[in-house]
Amino acid sequence: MSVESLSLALVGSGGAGVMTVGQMLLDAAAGAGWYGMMRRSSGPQIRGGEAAALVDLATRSVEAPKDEMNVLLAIDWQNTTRFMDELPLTPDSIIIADPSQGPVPELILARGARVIELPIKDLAAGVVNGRANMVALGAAAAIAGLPMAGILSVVNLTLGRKGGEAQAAAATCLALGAKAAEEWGLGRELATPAHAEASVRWNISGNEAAGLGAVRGGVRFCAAYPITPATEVLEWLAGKLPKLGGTLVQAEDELASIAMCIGASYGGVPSITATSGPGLALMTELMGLSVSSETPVVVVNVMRGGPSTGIPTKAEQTDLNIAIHGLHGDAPHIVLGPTSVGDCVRTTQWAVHLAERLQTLAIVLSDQALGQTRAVIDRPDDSAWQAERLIQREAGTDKFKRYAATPSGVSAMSIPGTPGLEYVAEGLEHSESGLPSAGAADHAKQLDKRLRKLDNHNFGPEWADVEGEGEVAVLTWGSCTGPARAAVARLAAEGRKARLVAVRLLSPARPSDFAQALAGVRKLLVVELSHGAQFYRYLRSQYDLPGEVTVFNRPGPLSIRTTEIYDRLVALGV
Amino acid sequence: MDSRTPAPHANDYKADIKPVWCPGCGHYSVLAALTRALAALALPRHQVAVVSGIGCSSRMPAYTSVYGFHSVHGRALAVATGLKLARPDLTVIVAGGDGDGFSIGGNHFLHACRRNVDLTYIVMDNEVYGMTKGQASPTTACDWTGSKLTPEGTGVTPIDPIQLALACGANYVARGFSGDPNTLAHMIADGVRHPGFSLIQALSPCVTFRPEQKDWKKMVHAAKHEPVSDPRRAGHLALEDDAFTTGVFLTGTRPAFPTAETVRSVMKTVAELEQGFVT
Amino acid sequence: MTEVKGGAISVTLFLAHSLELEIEARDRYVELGSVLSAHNNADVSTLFETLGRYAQMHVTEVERLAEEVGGIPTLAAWEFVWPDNEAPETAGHDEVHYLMSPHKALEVAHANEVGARDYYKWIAETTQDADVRRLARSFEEEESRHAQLLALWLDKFPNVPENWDQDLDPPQCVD
Repeated sequence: MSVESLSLALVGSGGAGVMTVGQMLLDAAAGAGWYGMMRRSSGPQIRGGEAAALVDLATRSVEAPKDEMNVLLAIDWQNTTRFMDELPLTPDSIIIADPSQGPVPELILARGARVIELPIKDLAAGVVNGRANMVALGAAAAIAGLPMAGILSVVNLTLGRKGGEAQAAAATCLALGAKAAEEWGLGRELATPAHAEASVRWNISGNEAAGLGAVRGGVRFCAAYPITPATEVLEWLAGKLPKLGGTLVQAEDELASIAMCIGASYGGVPSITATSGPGLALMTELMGLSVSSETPVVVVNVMRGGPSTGIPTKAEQTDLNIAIHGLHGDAPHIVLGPTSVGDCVRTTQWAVHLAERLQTLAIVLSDQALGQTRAVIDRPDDSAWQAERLIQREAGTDKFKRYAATPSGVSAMSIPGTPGLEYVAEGLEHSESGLPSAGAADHAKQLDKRLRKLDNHNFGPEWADVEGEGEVAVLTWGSCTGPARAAVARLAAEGRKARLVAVRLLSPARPSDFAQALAGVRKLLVVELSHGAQFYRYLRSQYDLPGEVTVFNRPGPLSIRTTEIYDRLVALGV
Repeated sequence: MDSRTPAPHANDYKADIKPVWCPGCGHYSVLAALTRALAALALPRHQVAVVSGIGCSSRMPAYTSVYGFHSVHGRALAVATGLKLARPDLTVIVAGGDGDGFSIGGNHFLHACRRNVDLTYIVMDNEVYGMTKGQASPTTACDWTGSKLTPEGTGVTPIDPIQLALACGANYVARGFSGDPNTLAHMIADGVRHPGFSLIQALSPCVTFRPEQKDWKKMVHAAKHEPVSDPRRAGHLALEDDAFTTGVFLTGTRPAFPTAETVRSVMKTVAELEQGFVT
Repeated sequence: MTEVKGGAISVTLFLAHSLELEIEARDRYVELGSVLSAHNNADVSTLFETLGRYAQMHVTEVERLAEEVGGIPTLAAWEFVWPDNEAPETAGHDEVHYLMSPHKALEVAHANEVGARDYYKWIAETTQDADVRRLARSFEEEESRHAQLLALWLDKFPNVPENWDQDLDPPQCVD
């Protein structure tokens, strides 16, 4: 007997090493040809806290975590109930518990899952330099049916620095865990993976994917200020930009990071920074400078719970308002939302292209659930989007008008170092040549110009992922797309039709594309992770929503699950 | 010594734009000093960028004929840092005032000094916010009662930009006076040539809100000491100073950022980097 | 750039100083004309522009002399040796006011010409070089004539009352 997918939670505390185990499990599964994703959940402690690695493995690409947790493997029970909401155990689930760590908590037992005892600590203690987490990994790998050779090679890669003794100890622990699990005969081994032999799969996090999309688009400068859960975008770029001839600098704060990006971009180098809500709030004045001075810049904002410091380690889709409306003055700019971990590559690359092409600010609204989730996916398709800035390279006979009110609204920039085209990039309202001006005519002309750039641009079919058919549609964005897509797929497998529209281009709005995508829809389900229903309210302000509208919104920190969307679509008559 | 091709003159670096500065303002002389420095350095106009924030003195870029960025209040150093790191071939000069640089932009000043990117920062210090009608700035004396916002005086100790720059790691530190624009021009030119971050505090009277500063020309006095390369010794000179000594305090020896060690040369393509994700 | 010790000690160095003096005088007058124009003092603006045009004539004259001697050295602004902080015919930026009268402006201009005259006089009296002395004397005489002319103009423009710099409005908030 085998399964198409398997979800496992590995929990433990105080340096038990469950995150490492989860990562190794995912890497080994990826190496053996499966797909998967791993999410992280942890307590507030920097070290020694309770942690949960939430791993989904499958024979096909994983859009969203499973609705039920098949296996809970606990190295200990310290404060594990903190994760209760993230551990959807059912009577079909299996709990693997170490009897030396005390009884299974009542709250967990109440879910009715079968409990199997595994003396993890004792088994590890019997091995010189043995580690409990390796016993757990052996057991988990055996349950999933992962070949031991693959696990060993992943473990050896990690332990390589520690030498042969550590590797031998790990191998013994893995074997002990695996042997026990094989004896249980749980029948949860994964079936043969579904992908074609020739296909290339990646093991990537959303934050890494955003970094990759940036450099694919041509970004060669990043100024960085660390913030959870966006830091990994910056760290990935820090390792890669110098190899591409680019530069990354750690800034003193978010005001500096975006200001540095604007300075570098003025110098002709496509630039990016990444942040999360509090940082985005700090950046808003300078984002306005990008718009006013028409200096391209990209900000990847990996959303977390808010307001204020909020919930740094959890996702929420609540920076939509500030991203779209946060700038003072009338400041047309671009807001995009990636619809999956892999789409972080494509959407960030598109953001670079749009910012450069339209000489303005582009904000990419990712979130913790996309950014810090590691997924094994098919390699995202190549996109042609590049940083193509309209540049004047030689002086003409007339004085250079940096802010010429052209029909398209886009006016040629000159790059410092070009003789005869000197100009001042200006945050004050200005004339076409860039001189400060408080005149009504200049203000209107420049406002029109900056809006026209966006109005006239053909954003194309990428504005949204439009999938499926039917008179009931689910309308969503960002990290809610995965579960929405999975819900629609489940309905389709049952022969029931529903439509999915996941908006990638959040701003500017595309009323005619929107109307076309939702033509014929009688019932609409709007899904978002926001207590204040920011997405729904934004849609109301920009679009005519067809038919009967139901809003399914709730705050983070818990991501929306496939089944919650599925149930609502069924209730709407799909 | 002789030159057959016409050497640039200060006027070549001035824009044909009428400044909004009050007639009599010290900033005109700082503009003269800056353009004289650029002329002496014979820098091609297109290879120079002047970056500023907001305030009277931050209007500087528009009055020069080089590239410029008039950004937002307090952030000039950060914009300039990004520009210089992305385009090390350019000469990047930052111009601003005491409020812009030491109040709203104070954090960037600390870090620009310690980061030591090759920038030349000219702070036109008149101890007042001019464009908002004369409020106290971080360099204003604590008992100045000339502002409606602090009618009893600020009661707060002013900052000495020289001491601050020395403490934070700036690599060239000097104080000049708008009333002596040629010496100031010399400092600016030396600051541009000196590697790393250069601070030039230019005492520059505000005739409108601080008319008493017209007396500064009687109060400034040239330093008796030679420039030193040890910031601790320069710090001693600054601590013993009456804030009206003009001259070069420090010609430091720190390498500019990024240092040679931090510049990596192993080049890859994006496609090669992508291989790291393949399972 | 060149280290210049001792100032205008040769004809070429003397002419370099002289040219800088005239260029700076011209540029400053033009600049002040623009400054006063921006602050809506048309009378003084026009006056400074006129003075700038006169200075331009002197620039042309010194340039011709410089050419005759086969070119002059290029000096950085701070390498010139002046009796004061700037070239002696240059109006100080701090000497103008947006409400200043033409009389005040002429006082400034007069002081500039006197400054130039005294500079050349000083050179003539201290130089060891006969050619420099000859040139300095002739320039001194010319500047002296300008000073006299400006003194005549001053008489034509009456001075204004004591409270000439009073402004009935407070300053504006602009940023």
